[in-house]
Formats: sequence, C-alpha cells, structure tokens
Amino acid sequence: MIKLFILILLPLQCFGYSNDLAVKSGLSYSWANIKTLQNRNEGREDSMTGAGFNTHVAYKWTSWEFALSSYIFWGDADGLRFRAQGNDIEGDATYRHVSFGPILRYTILSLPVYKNWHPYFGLGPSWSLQTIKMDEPQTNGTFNSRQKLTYESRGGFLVLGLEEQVDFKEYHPVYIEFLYSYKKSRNLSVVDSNDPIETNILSTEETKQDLSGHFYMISIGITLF
Amino acid sequence: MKLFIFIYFLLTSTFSYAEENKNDADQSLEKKLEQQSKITRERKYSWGYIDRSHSARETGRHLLGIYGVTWLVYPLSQPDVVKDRGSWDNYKNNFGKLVFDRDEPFWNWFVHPISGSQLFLYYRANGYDRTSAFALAAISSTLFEFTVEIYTEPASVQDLYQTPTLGAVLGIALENMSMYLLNTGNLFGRVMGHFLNPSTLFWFYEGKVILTPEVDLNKKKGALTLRATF
Repeated sequence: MIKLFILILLPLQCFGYSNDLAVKSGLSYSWANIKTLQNRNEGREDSMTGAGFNTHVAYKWTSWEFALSSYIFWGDADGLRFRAQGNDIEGDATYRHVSFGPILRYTILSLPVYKNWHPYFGLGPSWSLQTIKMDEPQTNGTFNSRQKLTYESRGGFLVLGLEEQVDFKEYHPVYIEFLYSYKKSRNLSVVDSNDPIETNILSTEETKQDLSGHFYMISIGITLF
Repeated sequence: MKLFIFIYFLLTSTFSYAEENKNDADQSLEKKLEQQSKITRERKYSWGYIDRSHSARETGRHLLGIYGVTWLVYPLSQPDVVKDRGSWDNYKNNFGKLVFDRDEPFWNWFVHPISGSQLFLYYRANGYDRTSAFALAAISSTLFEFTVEIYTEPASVQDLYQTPTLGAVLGIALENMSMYLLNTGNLFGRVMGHFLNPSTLFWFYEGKVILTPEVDLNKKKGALTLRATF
C-alpha cells in the first residue's frame, strides 16, 4: 500500500519545487514601436532596439507564481521627436527603460513541451520610466544635449515562456520568456544631467498619450537562489 | 651457541637495517614536506559560508543594528545633501510618499546595488542563507528608504526594488569571487577578497575555519582538522 502511495506521489516530483521564494535573473533583448505626439499626427511610428537584463523576486506555489519583476534595457533610436516645455525636440537618442510590476504566472504542469520544460503565461500591471538623452537635439527652445527627458508611463505586461521544472531551486532552473508590454506616458520631466551625481529636475508636465508604444522582449535567465 | 649468536646477529642487523630504512624514509618524507611547503602556499584558514538558523531575537538585533548604522552612515556619506536638502519639514512631507526618482545612473546603477550587495553579504556573514539574507536586506533597505532617506527625498520605486534585488545578484557574484580569492591563500588574493567582501574582515563573519594539518611521521598518516569559531 505504501509503495502504491509512493508510486502515485512520484510523478508530482516533476512538478518542480513549490512553496518557496526565488530570485531569478537573466539577459534580455528588446525592440519597441513607439508613437510620440508629433509622429502620431503623421501616422508613423519610431522603432527602438535595446539590450538589458531582467530580475524577478518570485514566490512559487505549485502552478501559480507571484513575482515582482523588473525589466531594464538600454538602446538607441534615430530621428525621435518629442515635445517638452512647449517646444519640439528632434534628434538621435540613447534611451534607458526601467519597468517594474507584479506578475501573476501560471505554469501548465500537465503539458511538458520538451523533457521537463513546461510553458507558462502571466500578466500584470507595469510602471516604467523611460529616460531619453539626445546627442544633438534640434529645437527652437532651450533644450540641449546636457539635459534629458524622462517619461513616467503606465501599462501592462503579458508574458509567455518556458521554464524547467526541477525538484529543488538549487538546481537553478532556466527560463526563456517572451514579453509584450503596452505603455502610455503620464508625465514628462526635463532633467539637467550636467552633474552625474546631483539630480536637478528642471520641469515636470502632464503628458497623457504623448508617448505610447508596444514593447517586445526576449529574455533568458536562471533561478539564482 | 654459535647458532644462537648467528641468529641474534642476523636479527639485530635486520632490525637495525629496518630502523635505518625507517629513519631514511622519515627524513625523505620530512624533506618532501619541506620542499612542498616551499613550492606550495600553506593556507591557515578556509573561507566559506555556514548557514544556520537564527532566533527571532537575534534577527531583530541585526535589523536594529543595521537600522542604527544607516542613521549614522547617511549624513556622514552625503553631508552636503543632508545639509542643503534635509529638514524635518521634508521628513513630514515625504513620509509615506513613493515616487519614481530621476536620479543619475551613478546612484541607481552603482551606489544602490553596491549598498544592497554589502547588506546581503553582511547577513550572509552572520550565517543567514541566501534567501533569508535577501529578505533581511530588503527589510533593511525599505526601512532606510521610508524612515531615513525621507529627511532629504521621498522613497523611490527604483531604490526599493533595485537595492535588495540587484544587490543580491551582485552579492552572489561578489560572494563567489571573494571566496575564490580568499581561498587562494596568497596575499593579493586575500586583500582583494576582503576588499570585495569587507564583511569577511569583521568579528561577526562566521565562515572562517582554521585549518590544522597534522602529519604523523611514525604511522605515516596525515589529517586535516577543521575548527570553526563563532
């Protein structure tokens, strides 16, 4: 009887570790199509590419997992156009994108895609900050290359991925994930970046819909502990 | 009688030959050990981490200690910021507020992850496993953000998340690198190891194990005694 009980329980082993907190981290490659107030009128989008990393602090039950996640990437884009302090600003830019959000994930344990790799999906709201720095901005205002634009945006995450299901997180399971995110800006700040240590916010304005976009990301990472 | 003398002579000569051989073997072993000590580095300690359980009281004491240290370190490390921007009115206004900061990369990608990694390594040095060390570092940095730093600026989302999380990721890298360097046994390795992981220098670090090699030349046996002191 005991043997039968153990035999029934054994397949549960492949469901992976459960009821445990894990910290995960990995590398990401992203691309995005963004619309600014200016190019929306012309019906065009700007595209951006970038690379960065992702981190997750996740508590896993059996199939469900709740994670506080962050996606960070850096990249560049040509010919971006924005509006700040009442003036149009145009130029090639480097940008930094930081997103945070809680994500609720569900792993389909009954469907191994390959060996112990199981698919999962998840979604959650996101809060992000896009920092844009232009090399030689063209503007009729006072904005210059020693200033930067920071957009605070809100949106949502949708993730689809594959993750190894192992008995213990100490085996460092690997995950591969595709992320889709849509964001809309809430406010814009112009920040003086002359001093790399001191933060000096020159102006802040509401910019609903000024910057919006579809962000896509491929991530790969492992459970660190 | 002749036979007895012959046997006695044979036996004594055999024993003395064996004794000489034994002495030769001992001397050659001693020489070998001497030579070996010249060409290899003898390590006095082994460095690592010993995870153990802690009482709630002990954990509370650590959290309180670190919290007290942040009240001292913040004004000492940023005297100009505290003097120019700090006030108790600010403290009241910023209490409970949470914003996205616009700080330069120097703070968000350098200072905060490094602070977080050192918090993580402090708790690791005190015998907490990685998950507990991460959780305690998160509590310590949250207390700092919401009750200390608000003297000058409101708590920020980036700092709350990145300090413990990126700190733990960086902390693991520093932990592994410093243990590797400390266990090389050479002076440069030890200095670099302590530099990357300063918690290993202090009395509270629990992973320093004394290595006592013992060699019994008569029985030709070697032993390595490990002793950990807390």
